[in-house]
Amino acid sequence: MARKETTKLNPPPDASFPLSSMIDVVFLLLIFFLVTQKPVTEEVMINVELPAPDMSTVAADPLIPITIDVDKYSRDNIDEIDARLAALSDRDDPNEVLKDERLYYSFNGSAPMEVSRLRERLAAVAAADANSTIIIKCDPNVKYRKLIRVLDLCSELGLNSRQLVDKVKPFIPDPPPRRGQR
Amino acid sequence: MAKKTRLMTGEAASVPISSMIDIVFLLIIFFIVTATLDKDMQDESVLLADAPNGRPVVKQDPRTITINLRMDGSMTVGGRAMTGAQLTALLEDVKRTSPDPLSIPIVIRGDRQVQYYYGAKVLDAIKKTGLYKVSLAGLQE
Repeated sequence: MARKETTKLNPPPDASFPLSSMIDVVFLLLIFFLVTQKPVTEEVMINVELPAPDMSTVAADPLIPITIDVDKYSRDNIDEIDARLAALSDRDDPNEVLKDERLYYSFNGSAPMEVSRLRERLAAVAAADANSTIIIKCDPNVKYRKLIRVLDLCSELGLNSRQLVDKVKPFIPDPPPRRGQR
Repeated sequence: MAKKTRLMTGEAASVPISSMIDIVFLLIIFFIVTATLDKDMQDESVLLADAPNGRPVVKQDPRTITINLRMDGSMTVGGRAMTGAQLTALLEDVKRTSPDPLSIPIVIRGDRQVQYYYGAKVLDAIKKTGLYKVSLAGLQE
């Protein structure tokens, strides 16, 4: 009896490390790094072409200029819009603020139009010839996002053409149509 | 007889755990190192514009020059801040020294809030050097 007690108090020395549980933790870490390495939103590319200085290389193609312009309301209130955008947290949707920012697109020298109209016009172009060259002239006051939007519209409509990006001198467009026409 | 006893104890049946841990740690270090290398080119403060119909990057050319354009109009290339003139000098350098400069892709990562004025400056700098494989980066949800 006394001998049994002694055995319990002094078990055989077990010097081994708890390796199997350590492996569990290590695998968890591995999976964590694998998952976090992949960004939640995927970065995509839109190919553009820059206009040649003399424009000779594109002279053979029909050119369709699109002008992106900021209207007078946005131009006058750009500081206020900027301040409201800066106050947003990362999770807020900037489009909530920007719906006030009315931007107009001019297609092939036409009067300024909303993006939905521009889409219709571009769809007609795409249906006629998907390879036509499109020149996008952008007002320097316009946010970069608007340029990406037009380029995105082009790729959505399957315009696999070359899209040339250029800047245009700012001009004040026609008086904007009333709100709610969107 | 002795041999049979040894087989029954099962000592030899254990997985070589310590060498397995070595491999796992190697894997972890590999992923940590490659992840930080990737992020060197991309400026975290740039919030790209939405482009749901853009073309996903399947395989990126290792020679790609990534130009980050921040909200305030400042540029960074490879983690270094640059002015327009410095960018032109860099691109001229690349054009002079690389064997096939016209096939080098240039990616512009512009913040959604930056004014096109600054984007146009970057495009002008690229245009001056004659490189034309330009893509603009966007975000797909």
